[in-house]
Amino acid sequence: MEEHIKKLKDKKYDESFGKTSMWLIDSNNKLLNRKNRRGKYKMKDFFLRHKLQFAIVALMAILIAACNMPVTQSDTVGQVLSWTAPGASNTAVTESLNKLSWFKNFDGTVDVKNINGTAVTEYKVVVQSTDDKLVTSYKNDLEKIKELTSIKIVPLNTSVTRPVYSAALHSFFKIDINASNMTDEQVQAEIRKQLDAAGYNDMDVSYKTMENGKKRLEVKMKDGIKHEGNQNLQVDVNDKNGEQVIKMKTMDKPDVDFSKMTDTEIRTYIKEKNNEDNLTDKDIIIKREGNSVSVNIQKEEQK
Amino acid sequence: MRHFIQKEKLEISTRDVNKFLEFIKPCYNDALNYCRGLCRKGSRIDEAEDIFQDSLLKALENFDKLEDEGKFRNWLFTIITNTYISHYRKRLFGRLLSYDEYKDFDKLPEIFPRVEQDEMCDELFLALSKLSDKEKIAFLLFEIGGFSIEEIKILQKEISSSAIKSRLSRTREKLRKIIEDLGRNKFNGNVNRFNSIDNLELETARIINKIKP
Repeated sequence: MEEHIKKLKDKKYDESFGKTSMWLIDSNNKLLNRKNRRGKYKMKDFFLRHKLQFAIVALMAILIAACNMPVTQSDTVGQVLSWTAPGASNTAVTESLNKLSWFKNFDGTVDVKNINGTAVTEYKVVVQSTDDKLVTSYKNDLEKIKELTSIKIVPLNTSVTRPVYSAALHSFFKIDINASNMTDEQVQAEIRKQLDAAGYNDMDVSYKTMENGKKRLEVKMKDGIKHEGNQNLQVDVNDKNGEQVIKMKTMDKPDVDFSKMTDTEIRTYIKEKNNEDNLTDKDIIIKREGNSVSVNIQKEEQK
Repeated sequence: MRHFIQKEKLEISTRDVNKFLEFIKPCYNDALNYCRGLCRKGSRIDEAEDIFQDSLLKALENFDKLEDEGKFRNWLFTIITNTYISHYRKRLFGRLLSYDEYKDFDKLPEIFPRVEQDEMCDELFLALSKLSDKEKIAFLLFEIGGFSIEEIKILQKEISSSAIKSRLSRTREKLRKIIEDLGRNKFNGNVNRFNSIDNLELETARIINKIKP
């Protein structure tokens, strides 16, 4: 093979150098003319040369515009639990209901109706939670009371208009992990994996068992990265008994301007928005940098 | 005044092209052999000339930007390599990108003989056409371009020199095997080249050449 390479190296084209030189001198004048072309020709050249890039940019612009097109979605904001009890004022039913720990926490309506000459009391309670398991557990409690009939759960929907990308994000960010037979590292890796898959690449995840045996989950945005848009993140970790160990969620982008509010006003607002989480002032950490306000909610829910 | 400026520009331009020709003369043969070796199909001589032509125009157009004149050879070979890569990329997206940068320029006069007279070179071109671009470029830059392993490493955007060393040794081995196979087939009377579409054009040209009075 060395001989082959040597043959190639020895191949000469010297006789063509003269005509190549002439061609180069001739082409050089054209190159010079090209260099001296007026601006608009240069611009035309530039557009022609980069037309693929321009096409891609235009396509991306269309895509971004399309993603920002508002779409209307139906969001469940809560659930209505309704049931009926015989009679206009059934003391036994009232007593049984009052025994339920959750019953007192909710506002509801009580209507007495006359159906075919029989008085029936209809109860309606609005549960401001989209957690199906929680509402089902309330329903189960009600089913244990023999007198109650027609126990129904009706989702409370509202129409929300948001950009397409936000709508897409909304359906993504729920992480449900069954932690049975999983080590802390495996749970952490699983959360990390699901976050990555959902596009949350800028988050720090830590899941560990504390000295007192309780579990601690921390999911936070890395420093310097702002949380924008209506991105809901909910992390549920369940142990082998199906009991919720940790639940974590982020709230919607606020509809108020924090920078114009005092710390007390911010805390009151957040507590109102998350009233089922029983937040205390200590759980809400507020940092101010100029006009920028960052609010972190650190609530440990351990069972 | 305008006439004077035009004349001055022309003088500078002539001086530049003469200087460019001075620089290109010592590496003229190697640059052509490099282009010839790069062409994917052994028989596509036109393509080698197209690549050489575009490379020369690019080099001449940017000659004033060359900072270190001592590195002219490496600079020219790098231009040829990039032109070769973009040439094939352009062929791939040809329907989308119909823009030809130098379409207004005259075609470079024919340089390569249309029928390869040297059988060894012919075999080598055929063998080279069976390699991947990375292997072929590394091998030809080392053998024909006189590039060092370090320079090839930079050009091929590799992290370590050992990657280039192993690429070169692997390519050499592949080439040796292909050339041996070609020789064996020829010895057995089974002329492999006829089975290759790559070389069909060349064989046709040979036959026509023989028939010609």
